Order: sequence, then structure tokens, then C-alpha cells
Amino acid sequence: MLNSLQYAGRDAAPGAVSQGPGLVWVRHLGIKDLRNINEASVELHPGLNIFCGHNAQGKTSLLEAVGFVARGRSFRTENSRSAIRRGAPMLHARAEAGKEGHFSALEVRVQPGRREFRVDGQQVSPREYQGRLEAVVYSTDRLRVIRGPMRERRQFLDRSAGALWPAYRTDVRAFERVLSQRNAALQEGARDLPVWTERFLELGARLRLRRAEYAARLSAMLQRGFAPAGEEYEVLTRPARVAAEADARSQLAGEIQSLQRRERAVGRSLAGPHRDAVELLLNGRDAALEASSGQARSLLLALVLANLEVYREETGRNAIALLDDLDSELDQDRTHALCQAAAGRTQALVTSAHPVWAESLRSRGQLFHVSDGKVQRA
Amino acid sequence: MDYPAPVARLIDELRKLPGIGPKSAQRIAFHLMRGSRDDATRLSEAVGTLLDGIRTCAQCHAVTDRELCAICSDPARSAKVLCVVEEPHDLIAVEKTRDFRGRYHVLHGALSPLQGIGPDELKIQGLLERVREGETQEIILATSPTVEGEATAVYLARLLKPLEVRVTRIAMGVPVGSDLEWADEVTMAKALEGRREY
Ligand SMILES: [Zn+2]
Repeated sequence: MLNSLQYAGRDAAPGAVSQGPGLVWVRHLGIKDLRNINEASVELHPGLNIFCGHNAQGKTSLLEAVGFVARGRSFRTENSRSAIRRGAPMLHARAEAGKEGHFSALEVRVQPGRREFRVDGQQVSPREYQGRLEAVVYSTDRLRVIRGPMRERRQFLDRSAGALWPAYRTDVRAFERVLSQRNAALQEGARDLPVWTERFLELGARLRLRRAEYAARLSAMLQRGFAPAGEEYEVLTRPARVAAEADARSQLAGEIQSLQRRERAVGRSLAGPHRDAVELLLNGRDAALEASSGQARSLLLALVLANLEVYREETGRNAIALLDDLDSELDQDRTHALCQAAAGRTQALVTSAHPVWAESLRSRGQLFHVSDGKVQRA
Repeated sequence: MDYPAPVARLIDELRKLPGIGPKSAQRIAFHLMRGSRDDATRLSEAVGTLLDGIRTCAQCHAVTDRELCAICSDPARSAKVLCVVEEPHDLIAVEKTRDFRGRYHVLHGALSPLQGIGPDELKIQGLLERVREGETQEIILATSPTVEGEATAVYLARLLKPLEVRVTRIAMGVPVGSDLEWADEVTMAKALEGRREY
């Protein structure tokens, strides 16, 4: 086994794309009625898969299909039904996924207002289904995580950590619920406001602590993971991390205390995890303000890969890397190193609109041509 | 095209029911239209007579057809332990365990500022009066493990503690974030057994 502590794109041996033992991968991908794809059946490479084609031919939909199988929803849109091919009643995404010698058929069917999950043909509940396949996604519209408002970075951390720890997800949901209840209580000047404040402190402190812990892990992973020459990455949460839940609680209580009058005036909770800062630092400076477009892309990729590594450290399993439109505005050295970093660690599905770039990676895996919703091995 | 008035009216009424969306309402309406007149008559009679003679227990606010419900008037049930639940159907969930030999208090809801439900909307005064009467030794807070149920439990615990009664909260063996109603009997029995001081 490769030691994850040594994980680093910059250290990866050239040409090393073979998979370690026990890696989860998708052997076969089947799609029906997903966007412009009528029907597709693709045998995948355990390492690097490059899908090359012009824009709007269906490259991204192939990645989206894996996303559907993994999470039951699209990573491109909140509205999954919009991914159903026009005129079709539902979409199917199916993957034979697993470890060597232990594959199962995972299938998701999406129709308006309804999702169905199957394992080896048997319908199962979402709860039973989840966690069988994980995927991390890089796509340029995710650049808002780097450069968009703070909310994007908070959401990125919460969703990534939530995918890893169901308890984290539960904490986020409970906190959001308590936040709306407390805000309503503030607006009405409700008599039971103290209890809602009490619950808010309890759940808020816990979420703060958990989020800070996750940020610290991600940060540690970033610092030893992929980065282009001369660039250092870091994730920072504010207020700074405290050691224990009790400390986090009294800290938050102090903030709320000092804001008491203003909170009552505006009818909203003015401090807490929903307003905390999450900063991505590039060489010690705020990447949201300072990163060039190439730097922002590298940082986003590094974050995605770091996430993948935390996931592996935690579960002993790898997540599939879905890297969309990878070549745009990244020079060839950077992208090669990145592909290398991802492909040595897990299965990666990569899309590109540039034939020359794609061709240059052919020796490291499998190249496919995508045109008009059809996929062909090259 | 709009539905004929009688159909539209039925759909509107069905949609007011919990857990029934527009689609289910339509489905039920069309199911009834296809069915026999006898079936429809039986259903409408059942609904029509539902509230005749149905009331809430004067003591615990459970649903009953008498002044005092069967549990409150059963001398074999101990008045020393009160199990506080949100809704009448939660009481049924606890009863199904057949492990609990005390009595109940039904709040008829949980605190929820978003829905305008404050302490005055719940049957809290009656609970405090029952405790002040002095027979109660333990209150088990069995509100749902939701955000609202938990806040309600905290609220009640604060009110009850000064009355010098033991206050416990059911253990969270119940699936977190779900309603008590869905807890299966074994889980529910474990939750009661593993209750903690509050
Ligand atoms: Zn009663």
C-alpha cells in the first residue's frame, strides 16, 4: 500500500498508473436517457479515463452519470430532473463498481419527483444504498468555491465532511433547523427564545468544532499534497479552532451575548457557523482575492484531491475522481502532474476538448472520443 | 382543464391532510371515484362520526371518548411516573412496548417559532398542575428527537426541575432526526430503558 502521508503529485513516479490492491473502481458504466445521451455502454480503465470531444457532445454527462450512481443526484444542477433526456420519462445510470473480485451493479433511476436505487437488480432504500460508491468532483463552475462568496467555502467544507461522516451531515441539518427556529423566535420576541439560544449554542459549537477539525485535516493534506512549484495552500477557519466543545460553546455564547441587542433588533442570529469565515490561503494570502485564474484552478484541484485523500485515510476506501474540463487554462505540466497524482491513487474520469492534450495522456490509461452523445474507444 | 367542482373540492380537502401532496390527493380522489358507492359511504360515515363523542382526556389530553381516558382511569397504572409525548400517536408508540406502566401527558405539539407554536399553544400548564399535586415522582420526557422535540424537552426540564421531581429524557436509540412515531417497538423499549437524568 502506498502511504498516504507521502501522497504528493510532485513525488509521483512518472508512468505509474497501475492501481494498488483493494481500490474501488467502476468497471462498466451504462447510461440511458441522460441529457443528449440516448444510450451508452462504456468499459472503463481502472486508472485514467480521458473523454475527448467538442463542447456539448456529452463528455460531462458521462461524469455526471457516475455522480448519479454515487450520490443519486447531479453535480451539475440542483434540479436532477433537468438531466433527463428531453422526451424521455426517466434517466438510468448504472455502474458495475467495487473492488477486484467483488463487483456489484449499482443503479439509479431518476424520474420527475422520484428516485429509485438498485443494487444487483434489487431495489433498496436510499439509506441502504448510500456509501457504496463515492466520487469527488472538479469542474470549472466549482471555482466559486475559491473565488465566490464565503458561503461557498462553508458549503464546500460542510458537504465534503458530510459525505464522509453521516453524523456531520446530521449536525449541519440540525443546526440549520435550529438557526431558522431561533431567528423566528428573535423576530417574534418569543418567550421560549432562551431554549432556542441554548440549542443554538449547543449545535452551533459542535458544528464549529467539527468544521474546524475537518479544515485542519484538509489543510494538513494540502500541505503535503499536490501543488505547483512555489505554491503553498492552506485552509483556515475563523474564529480559530478551540480544543473542546465546552470551550467552543462558551466562545459562541460570548459572541451571542455581545450581540444580544442587535440580534433582537434585526431578528436574526448574527454569529455562529452560518457566518464564520472559511479562508483558502495561497502562499499565506486570501485566494478569493489574490488567485489568478490558473492558480484558482490548481487550488481547486488540490482541494479535490486532498478531499479524496482524507476520505481514503478515514474509510480505507478511495473515491472516484471526476475531473471535468481539466485542461482549460492549466498548462500541460500542471495537468500531467495532477492526472498522475489522481490516477496513481484512484480511478479518474477526465474530460477535455483538446485532442492534442488528450492524446498526450493516452499511454496512461484509456482514451475515448465523445461525439453527439456517443462514446467510442480511441 | 380544471376538474369538475366535486372532484376539485375533494382534492382540496385531501390536500389539507398531513403527508398528502397534490399528486396523492388526486390519486386518492380518482381511486374513490372508481370504487363502489358502499365504500365511499362507509368512509364518509367514518369521517363524519369521528369527532362525535371524541374528546381529549381531561387529565392527560390523550384522545378518548370519555372524560378520563382508559389509562388515567386504570388504577393499575402508576401515577408516580408520567411520560410526556408530543402527539396522541406517540402515546400509542410507547404503549406498544407494553413496558411502561405509568401514565402520560400529551402536549399536542412541540415548540416551533417558525409555525408560531410557543409554550402557550402546548398543554404545559396542565402538566405543571399535575406535578404540583405531588403524586408524581418522575417525568420522562419522550418528545421526538427532532430539533423541536429536543428544545421542548429542554424547556420543560427547566420548568420541572424546581418542582423537585426527577426528570429524565429517553435515550436516543430512536433514529436521530426522525419522529417518535416511526420508532419500532424494540427501539422504543430500549429508548425508555436507557433514559438519562435531565
Ligand atoms: Zn388520560
